[in-house]
Amino acid sequence: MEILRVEHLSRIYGKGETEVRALDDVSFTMEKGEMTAVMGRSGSGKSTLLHLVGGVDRPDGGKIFVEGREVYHRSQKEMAIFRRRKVGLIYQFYNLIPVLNVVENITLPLRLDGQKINEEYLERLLHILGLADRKKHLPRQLSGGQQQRVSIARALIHAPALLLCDEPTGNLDQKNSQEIMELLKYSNREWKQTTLIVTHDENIALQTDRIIRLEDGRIVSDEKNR
Amino acid sequence: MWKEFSVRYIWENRTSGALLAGAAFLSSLFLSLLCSIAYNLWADYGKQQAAGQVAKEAPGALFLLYGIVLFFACLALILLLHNAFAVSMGSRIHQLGILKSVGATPGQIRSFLLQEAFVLCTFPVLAGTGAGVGLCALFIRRVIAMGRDMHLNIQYDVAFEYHILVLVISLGTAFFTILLSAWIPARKLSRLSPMEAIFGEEGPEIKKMRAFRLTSRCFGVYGELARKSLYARRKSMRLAGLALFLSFLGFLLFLSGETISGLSTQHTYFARFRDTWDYMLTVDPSSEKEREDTDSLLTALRELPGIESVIAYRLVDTKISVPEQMLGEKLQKEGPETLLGDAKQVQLSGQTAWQVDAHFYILDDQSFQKYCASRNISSDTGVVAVNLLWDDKNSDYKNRRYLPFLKEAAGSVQLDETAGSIQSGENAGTKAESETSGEGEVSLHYDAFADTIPDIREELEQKALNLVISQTAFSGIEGLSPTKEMYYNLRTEGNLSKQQSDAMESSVAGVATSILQSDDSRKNNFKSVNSESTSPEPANPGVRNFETGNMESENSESGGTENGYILENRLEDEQADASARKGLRIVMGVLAGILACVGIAGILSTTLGQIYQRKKEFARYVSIGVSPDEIKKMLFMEALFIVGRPFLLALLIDIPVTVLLLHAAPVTAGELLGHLPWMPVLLLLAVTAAVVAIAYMAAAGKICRQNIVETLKDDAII
Repeated sequence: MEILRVEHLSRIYGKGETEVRALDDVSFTMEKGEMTAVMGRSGSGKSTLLHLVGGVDRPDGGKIFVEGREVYHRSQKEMAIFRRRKVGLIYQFYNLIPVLNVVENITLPLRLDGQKINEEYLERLLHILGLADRKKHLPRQLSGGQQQRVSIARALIHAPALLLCDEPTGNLDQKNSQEIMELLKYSNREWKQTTLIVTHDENIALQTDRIIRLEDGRIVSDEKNR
Repeated sequence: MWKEFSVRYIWENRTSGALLAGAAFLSSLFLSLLCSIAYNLWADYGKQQAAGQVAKEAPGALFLLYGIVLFFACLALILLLHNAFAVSMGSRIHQLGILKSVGATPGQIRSFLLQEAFVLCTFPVLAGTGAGVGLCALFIRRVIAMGRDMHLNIQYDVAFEYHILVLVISLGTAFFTILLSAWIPARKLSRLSPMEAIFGEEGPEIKKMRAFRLTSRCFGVYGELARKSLYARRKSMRLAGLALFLSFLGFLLFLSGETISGLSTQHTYFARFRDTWDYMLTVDPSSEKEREDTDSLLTALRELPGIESVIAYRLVDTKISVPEQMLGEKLQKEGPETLLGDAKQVQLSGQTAWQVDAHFYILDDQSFQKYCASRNISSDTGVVAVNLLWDDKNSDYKNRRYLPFLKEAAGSVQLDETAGSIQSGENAGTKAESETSGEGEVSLHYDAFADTIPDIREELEQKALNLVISQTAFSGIEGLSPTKEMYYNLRTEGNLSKQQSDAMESSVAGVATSILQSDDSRKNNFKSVNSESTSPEPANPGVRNFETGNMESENSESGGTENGYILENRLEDEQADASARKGLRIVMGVLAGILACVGIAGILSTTLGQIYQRKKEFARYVSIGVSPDEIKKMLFMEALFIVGRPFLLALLIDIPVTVLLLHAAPVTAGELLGHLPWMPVLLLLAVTAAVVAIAYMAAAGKICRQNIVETLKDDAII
């Protein structure tokens, strides 16, 4: 089942002499349960691609479909609901809400949506992510690895169609990086979670099903990994 | 290089700069106002000394008070403004880090930031100082107008005064306050290492967070997020919040207190005595000749056209001893020991008696006859007992229950002058004591009972026994000392206009002056009565302490001590009271407004400065699915909490204080609610809320237009 379809996507920054084509005619699809890495050098357009897919930026051309529905033909409110329900975003610098504790951060997308919290699922997530004894801690009271786990839990709480990770291990040491990857692989395996990971780390990319390589905003290779 | 750098930064951060400039304007306005008012007070004091109205002493206390007020005002402003500067300077910490990394010294950074603050605040300080002088001039003009309305006896020219030295002091304190406020955060920032500065700080450090369940329940998840965000930044907003809170609290307490006081004065004074007196003439006869003058005066006053009635009266306070069997049946039954309060049990001719306080109203004979006729009683003895004892054990001040002090049967009072006492009773069994002692005995028989005192500007004294006595009957008991003053309670025919009232006052004063002016001894005697007075001023205007004869607290008196009499005009009293209250409300409104402005300026410069630093916080919300409208909703709730919380806290203090005040005043809660000036309170609240909300909405618009992708990517951006 196709979850994501990107058609001729382009994104241009600046005008005239300063114009930079961050993405240029990018097209690809992702099936449900697929785990894909997007690799490329700094400035190749990989983060731009992820943010466009995640609905936090707007393309200058092309279309993105998630679960068969065009992403950018929506009002601002509908876009917010799309980000809330359809995608889970994980950033290099976690981007947790500093005034909320672990449980409040994880459940915030549900509360914003006015949905009831599935306590059983929450407990399971906390247990799997090793956060069961950190429920009431504020982000500042957690290590980098723990904060990234909270960020993963927050992204997964809605069981999104697409999990988007922007350099999820970029700010972590080797051990924590591997733990985070194991968790992402676990969610992909256990819940058939479709995952798109942007990384410049070859070791991380090699653990995914497929690697898309970008150069100067264009796809230069798209290979199955296993 | 620095100059260009600053100019570019100020231009690119116009909102933040405008807020700082606004805070500097308000602060210098406040300081200039303080300095100008203090100078005018000092100048007024000098004029009073020159006019001989006060003793010639150095105004040391005034200067000391001014110094203390100025010190605390500067301190409060520094605490408030340094936060605003810290927020503004903190927003460019990344930039400062880069400057440091390329070799800028801490001293260069510090002087660069201070120069920027100086450039930003110079014009607002000059404008604020000028506005403060203007506001002071308006204020002094208003005070002078109020004094005129209140007919204050001022014997020198009052006008707004200003001196170049005041301008120098005002500008000096304003610049000192503002530059010190800027120096505190500038010093802190200049000491950061380049790396600390480049990566900045992730907002305030949050060590613990409250749950805010009630807020969450009432305002939903957005209310909870807004409240938690405010809680995290509470330290930087503490003083601005305090200024708002004090502004609301001061205004609320003043308005509720003033309304209760106004209603109370209406009840206990103006409304109560509106049909009782229009003019009150007080003279002090001390010799036989003078007493004859007072008789002539009474006759002359009664003959004045337009005068309906004149009651001449004097008062006596004393103690009497009453045999227990003479007490009223109810009183005996319910227990004199509990109901008579301070009364002492004494032995009188072998009988148990109670020594109690008594109060006599001595009326001229004609008025006494009218009093008896109007109450359908007749008294051959010229003594009527107002037989009402307030049962203060079983009823409260507002809902008094009275019971008869005496059995309703004729009795007599006897003065035992050798013992300094009056004896009374059916068989001379009741003993009354007076401070004045003499020789021989005088009997005073009472043979009638009433339940009201005469229609004069007096209240029923809360004494065990009140007696209304005719002048003739009282002349037989010379051993007692009435108050030295003789009061003439005048009523006019119909309601008078202000002009008619003034004309009538002149007529009464003319009569009094023509009859009394030749008597110099009375003047001296009367002055001495006033100068001996040590009692505090009464709470209500026009309500005087007759025991001490303190009359100089009156607002609308004419004649004065130099003519040996005091003439009061009820209509003027009422107008002066209304004018004073109106003036007081304006002054308090201005003060609350200034305090609210300082609070608003502090809040705006702190919160709005922070809003631009909080880009990342909002970007995070957007990334997890919060829409721009929901961001606006969150900011709106922040603004609501910023204004609503200090208002609610002020209300929480104001309500119990008002309840306590109500308990002590003859005013009901319903009546207070009906008369409370809601409009000024709502206006202050609405203006404060509107200013904060509009500023927040403007900031929200800017936030919602930002590029969240860049904000989320770069952790160095705060």
